Amino acid sequence: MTETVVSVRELQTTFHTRAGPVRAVDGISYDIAKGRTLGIVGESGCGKSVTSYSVMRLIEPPGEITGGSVLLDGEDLLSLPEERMQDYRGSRVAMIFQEPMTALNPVLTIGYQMDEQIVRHMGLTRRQSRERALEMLELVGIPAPRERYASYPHQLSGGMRQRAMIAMALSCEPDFLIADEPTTALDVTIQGQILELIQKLQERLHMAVQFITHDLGVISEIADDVLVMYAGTACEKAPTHRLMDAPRHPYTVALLQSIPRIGRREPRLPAIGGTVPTLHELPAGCPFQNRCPRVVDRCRAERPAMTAIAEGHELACFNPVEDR
Amino acid sequence: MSALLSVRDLRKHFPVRTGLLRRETARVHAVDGVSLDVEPGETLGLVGESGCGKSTLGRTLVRLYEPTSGSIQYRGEDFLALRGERLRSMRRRVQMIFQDPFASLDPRMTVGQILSEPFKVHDACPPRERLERARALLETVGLNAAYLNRYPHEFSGGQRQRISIARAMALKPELVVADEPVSALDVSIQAQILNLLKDLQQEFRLTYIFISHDLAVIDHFCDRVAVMYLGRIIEVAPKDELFRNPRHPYTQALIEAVPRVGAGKKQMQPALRGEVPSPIDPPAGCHFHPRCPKRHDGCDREYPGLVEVGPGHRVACRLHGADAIPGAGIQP
Repeated sequence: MTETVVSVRELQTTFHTRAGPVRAVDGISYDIAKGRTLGIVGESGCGKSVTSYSVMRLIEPPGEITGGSVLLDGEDLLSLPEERMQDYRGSRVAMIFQEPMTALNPVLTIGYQMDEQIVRHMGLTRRQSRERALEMLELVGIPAPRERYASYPHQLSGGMRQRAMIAMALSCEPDFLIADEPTTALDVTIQGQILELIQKLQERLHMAVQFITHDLGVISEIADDVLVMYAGTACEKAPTHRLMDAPRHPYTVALLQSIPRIGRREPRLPAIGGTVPTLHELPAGCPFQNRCPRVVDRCRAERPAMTAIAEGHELACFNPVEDR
Repeated sequence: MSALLSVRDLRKHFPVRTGLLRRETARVHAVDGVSLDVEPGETLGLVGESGCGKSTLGRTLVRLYEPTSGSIQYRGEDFLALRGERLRSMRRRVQMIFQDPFASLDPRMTVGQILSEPFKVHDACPPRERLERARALLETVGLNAAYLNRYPHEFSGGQRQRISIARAMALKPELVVADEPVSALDVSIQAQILNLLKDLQQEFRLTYIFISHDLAVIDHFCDRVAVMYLGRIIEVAPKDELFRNPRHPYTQALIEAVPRVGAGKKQMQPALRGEVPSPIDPPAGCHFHPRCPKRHDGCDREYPGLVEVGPGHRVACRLHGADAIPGAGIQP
């Protein structure tokens, strides 16, 4: 039996806007086991990043976590005092971002920033922490780690900065890593290098990884399981191969059909009509109803809940696509 | 068939100025000797990673940038020598669409004003017909004509890109350079815009130069593909040929690096090590040699230029062509 590290239940995050409260994340649940990767995929505004920030408790006003729980080894992060949470961030839960400068301070050297974190979380001396930082920089494949230790973030290339951020995030060996579009801004050949690195470090540290991306190709190659989100809600969750080969939710199916793939020849792409509704104007019932080719009356009246249809496969749809 | 656009040895270098006196201390070789022909009605894809010069090339082709050297002929006429009225009339025939529909539309103008502008600038129709034309354009790109009085910020990214496309189509161009037109869009919207561009191509018999970093989009959309690396085209071929039988080690790595949907979780194995060197001081010989898994002696000194290896298939690599390194060009 695999060991569950993270267990998110009915997570709900609300933003209090001038036009009224909107639920950016509305009832998301998932588990991630030790050494496993959950991919969360969806388009802009689907709530995949807000989910991650909520798990890290990095939501700031006007946003607020308004419900649910985030269990890390059985302990609810959402009910911890803020000081405890600060101890956990970086040591037990770490996050890497699309834009490394989100996490790196431009006026401090890479080494200084790493030391600060290592000293705080691992209780090492300055000298020991320097050893540790150099070891991490080497591990993530940064050439000449001693020089880079003394460098400022702007002196590194985009790919190297991404590596430095990963080195920093993982320097205290967290149990749980959240990767929020870590390769989206990178060129495709550099993306491959960074994905390999994350995978290698995951194997070494046995971390549970939550990998957020809009790229179904990346998800296919890195995730064990995939959660598809739409307008703040979960549509479908399944083991990756099952989700890619036999998707059941009309949104998942449409999403997979609408992307161009190398070697697939068709004059027109089957596009999904319309646009994602803004969270202010979400219809009652299923949020995908206005773009869904399989909509039935019930979809307009009632919101479908995630229901298990097979081992590890959950679906929120009243009229799913036939099982192939 | 004679080419619509014919480019020879085009270069665009940007000076790097430093110090108090802003003296030129280095040059970015953004486009470094590009030659290509574009046939009427075709879609030529330009693909490569950041810094390869694809966007600079696109902008130079429409004369948003003046090239450092080289020639551009449009229907046999010297595009770079055109001035005044002749240049204006040429600009009507060559249009550009940009990646960022947020930056390319003036936020203070209504959609009606934005779409009337081309008619005004080029005096292409009587003033009172302009709005009518703008309305028709909106419908052409699948937007409601009622949007004429709205401002760009009221639209989603996909709708804004439709407005940019409508503006580019206003004067019925012949050649459209589209620079990453779907890269900022979500996948479901990306498909809509690609379909729209295809429809417009049929309707107006357009020729496209389509710039993208996304090989899957390139494969879907283009007839012919040119791969760029550090300012040079290193391989060009009809699409099917390029994706089935890539000959340049860089093209091979680039195609291999694209994550495949449905491939299943795998042990990641990067197609290439190292990073793209700076275009300020590109490596001697073949620019790709420091990262090339198939490099041979001399690749750091000699650059063979594009050599024909099949019908319409040209590659710049010493492993291929008549003078190829013996035994090295055989593909597994």
